[in-house]
Amino acid sequence: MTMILEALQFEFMRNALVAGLLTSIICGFMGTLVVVNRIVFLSGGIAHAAYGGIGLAFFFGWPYLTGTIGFSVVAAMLMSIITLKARHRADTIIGVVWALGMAIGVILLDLTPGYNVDLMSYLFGSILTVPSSDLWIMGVIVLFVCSLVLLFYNQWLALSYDEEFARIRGVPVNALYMGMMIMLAIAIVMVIQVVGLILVIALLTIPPYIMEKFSKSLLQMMLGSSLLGLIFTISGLWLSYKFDLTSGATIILVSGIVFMLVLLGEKILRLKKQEMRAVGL
Amino acid sequence: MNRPVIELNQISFGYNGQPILEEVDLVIEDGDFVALIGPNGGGKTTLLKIILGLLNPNSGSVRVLGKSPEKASAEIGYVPQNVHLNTNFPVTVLDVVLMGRIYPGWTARRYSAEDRTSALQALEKMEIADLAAHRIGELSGGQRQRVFIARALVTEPSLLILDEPTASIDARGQEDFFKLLAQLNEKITILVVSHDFYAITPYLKSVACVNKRLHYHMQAPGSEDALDLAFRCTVEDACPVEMLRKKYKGNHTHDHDSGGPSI
Repeated sequence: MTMILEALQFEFMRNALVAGLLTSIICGFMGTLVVVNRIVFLSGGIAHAAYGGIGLAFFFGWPYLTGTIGFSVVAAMLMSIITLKARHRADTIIGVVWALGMAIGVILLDLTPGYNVDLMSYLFGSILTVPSSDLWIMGVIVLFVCSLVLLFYNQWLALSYDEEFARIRGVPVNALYMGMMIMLAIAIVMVIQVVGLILVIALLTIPPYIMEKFSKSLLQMMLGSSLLGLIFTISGLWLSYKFDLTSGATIILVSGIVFMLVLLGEKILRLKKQEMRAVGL
Repeated sequence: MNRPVIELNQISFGYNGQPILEEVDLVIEDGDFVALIGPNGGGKTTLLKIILGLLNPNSGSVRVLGKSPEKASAEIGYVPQNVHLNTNFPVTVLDVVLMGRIYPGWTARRYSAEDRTSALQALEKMEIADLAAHRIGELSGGQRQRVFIARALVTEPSLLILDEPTASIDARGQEDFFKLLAQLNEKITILVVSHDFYAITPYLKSVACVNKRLHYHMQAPGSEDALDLAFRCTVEDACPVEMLRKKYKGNHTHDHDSGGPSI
């Protein structure tokens, strides 16, 4: 307890916690949509292609957010148009955009004279060095994305559950899908800057995957995933502080271990059920 | 006679030059109960998707309820074939049925008390109101089928379209199921895609057989006549009705030699 209080005396630690909270919320909301729509690979594509945007922003001297969000939104729309038009080819195209985005980023950074961001901070972020100003921008984006998700909740639900039926009912499926991609791109870019690309993918997938089993509605899944993500973030931060480990990687490790335990628990439960049934016969 | 609910005029459709449907003409009138039968890959589902406005034909014209299919689709209750879709999805039975009450366009509208009442009533009609709070994945295939029909019914449709509705229902359930459809047919025009032609026969008013082309679409007053007429389908090699007929004959429930058309 004293150790936690001691840790909280540092502003960077408090900022890390707030960043973790905001990341958990946006990843809980968008991650739920990602998992139920099975677009994890597409999210990975957006996150990696965003590196091209970072290169672009540095090369042309644009502000970081403008360049990166612009590039990612374009990449996301490209990938989602292809997904809507030719579903059976979508994974290949996403793979290409994924690789190309990263390559463009690396080369543009090569060509940019002077200071360059290094790849590691992009991959794993630096949750311990988030400035307060970034937290404000994050807060606004989290508020914006979550309000949109809640406002059109029934429509996202209809789209995610049965796209064909939604289309027949006159729900603007294509526009909603695009909207989802744009929100996803904005959320990913925002969070990458803070916690890194690997942690974004972990928090977009692991908490929603676990919560999907225990939820009766998308909303429950969103709120549950946010909470679970927060638990992972806080325990990961605490462990990294205590054992002097890289924070982002520790958070992912904690999430991954819980993920494995849930899978294992599920397997044991299923075997027990089968056993009971066998005895019953 | 009655006003036509579906009018297909010289519909052709194909992917990459592979024809799936050729010059299909079909008129379905108000109050009809039609079975659309035919072999797998014969274009049944494609024809449904054209009627629903999900696919556009390469040529020919489609009118549904006197409108373009995109405009008419809101008045069509559609029950999809795959009831095993997304069984892990975190959604309750009631919430699935409520999707039938969704408003078209971008809207932040919540479901009203009235929407909930009508969803519950539809579930009661399908005799699964007690499952309303269950997760959709906890239900059996047949129960999920009923949920999807309830979802189609709350849209208050003028036309109900079901794609292979018996695929996940056992033989005894099918009998009840078709009785239920016959009861719904008192108010709604029904188009059902089925390879289970045998089970559905006693309740049908007409039969259409589609195998690239539409072979027959016959209206008959009695169900047995409908079956007899459909038998003529067998002049086409690829039509599966021959097979179904044998199954039917094997049960000795219908005598083909007593005055019916000779086959």
